[in-house]
Amino acid sequence: MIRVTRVLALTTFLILSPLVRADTLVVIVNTENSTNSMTKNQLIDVFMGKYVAFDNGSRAQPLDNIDPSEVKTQFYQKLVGLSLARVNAYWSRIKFTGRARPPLELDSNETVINYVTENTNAIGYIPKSQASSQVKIIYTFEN
Amino acid sequence: MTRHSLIALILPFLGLPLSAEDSLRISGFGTLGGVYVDSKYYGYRKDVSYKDGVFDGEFDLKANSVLGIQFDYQLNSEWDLSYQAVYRGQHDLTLDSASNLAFIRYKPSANWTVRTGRIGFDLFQLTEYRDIGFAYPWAKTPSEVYGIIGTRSLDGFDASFTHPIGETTFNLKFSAGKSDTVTVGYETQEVETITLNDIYNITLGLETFDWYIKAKHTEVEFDNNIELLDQLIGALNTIPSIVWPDAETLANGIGLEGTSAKYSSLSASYTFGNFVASGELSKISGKSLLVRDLNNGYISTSYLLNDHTLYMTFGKTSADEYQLGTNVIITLPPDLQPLAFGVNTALSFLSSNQRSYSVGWRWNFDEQMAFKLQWERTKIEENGGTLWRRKDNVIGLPEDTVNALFINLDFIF
Repeated sequence: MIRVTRVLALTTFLILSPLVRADTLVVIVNTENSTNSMTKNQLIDVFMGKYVAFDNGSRAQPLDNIDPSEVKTQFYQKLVGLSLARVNAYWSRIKFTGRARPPLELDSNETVINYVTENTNAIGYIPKSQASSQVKIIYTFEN
Repeated sequence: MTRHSLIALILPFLGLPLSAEDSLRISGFGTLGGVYVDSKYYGYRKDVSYKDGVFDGEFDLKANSVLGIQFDYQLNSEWDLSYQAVYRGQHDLTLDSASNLAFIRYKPSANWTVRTGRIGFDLFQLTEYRDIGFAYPWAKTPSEVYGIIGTRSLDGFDASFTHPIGETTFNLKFSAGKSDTVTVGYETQEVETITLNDIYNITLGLETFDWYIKAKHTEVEFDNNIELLDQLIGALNTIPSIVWPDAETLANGIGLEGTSAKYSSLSASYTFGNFVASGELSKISGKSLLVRDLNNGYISTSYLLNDHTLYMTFGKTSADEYQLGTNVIITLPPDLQPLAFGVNTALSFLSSNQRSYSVGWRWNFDEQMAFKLQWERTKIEENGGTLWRRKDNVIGLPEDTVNALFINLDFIF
């Protein structure tokens, strides 16, 4: 009976663990980008249009991951603690006054990864489970 | 075709490099706004560029409604173009009056940005996005600060420098150009255009994501008078000093043409927990008797609860009173008294005195749509109602207390 319980517990863990790992978001850049890490405040500056650059001053191209939409929702909740509605309200006064362009919207984790691997100035976010040696992780959000 | 839109079309043919980053983004914003007021003497208008007012007994869906569309085209990593057209019920809808933004931007680094063409007029904190309801919590920007401003765009250029300092971001911007501002008196039907020349603006800002403090200063020169002023000046100049001793002084001081004005603003916002406090103090002063010191301001507090925002706002505008007194008017010959009343009308043209209290609710029922409900109570002082449209059968600018209800659907796409 105890052995059956352990087997069930282990099976449940193995089934659910990818989902647990996939909820962790990471910020990625091209492997040739000289930036190895960024602070949360620096990421806020980049993704909220305040100072869109890496720590060496080179311009950054931020990317939004919109498919699935939960990834973008989770990212901004962890980054600035706001819902997408409030993030959109913030960006509407930045974008429609012509001050800055919002992040480029890409429609899948794979598209984000491909864009990052092809552009040294790109910076995006994906579930950690999707990251590979093709990209460099510079920030990990705690769950 | 205006100069700024021509620039935006010609440059691609001048051989600017293209790259795989070329992309055209189309987006937009809008407000379907309903307004109801209960004033005995006045009708609501968003600002002094509007000829129509919302009077008691009406529920209006036009006064606060807006629709805008924006095209952004990225040429390469350093150059991009933007064009924005807005319909907000402007009196004369033309390509020029609808074009809110039309510029080319050069961004050689993360620190520097230069734009030329038609850009937002960064006069006060909210001037550039006052028509984008989705961008702020209230049903409208505070009339006490923004109701006296009829202009929205600047034809010229701006250069801005941004640099992080620790966890804050420092921004310095300089802009220069000209602008046409549309203005309609509180009682007249004539829609007048005043050209502002030699506009110079500087903005300093320090901010984090949770707070900002910004200072702005602008100096302008008026290029022309409104027709009413030309008529008054012409009539005053024909009056012998023995009949009206102050006529010449009024004629020399009442005009706008060739005079200058200054606009200054200090604004701040702070987010603490679920609360946001924001406010702004602004001042307008000029050399003309028409542009006397105008001190304005508002303060607002919002409480954020999930998709809901509850807010309270207080706004006040106060101008130096300057009117020809009754004791002066009655000493004039009867045939000159209408002229004297006309001078008083002109002296009140850019002079507002009122205060408002408002409470409201915003509900983000969608990521790109919001519903707003706002009740506002305004105390208008005697001779201070220039932000409103006065009813035809009313004499002068009487004091009044007005209740207004605003119901908005704001959206972006």
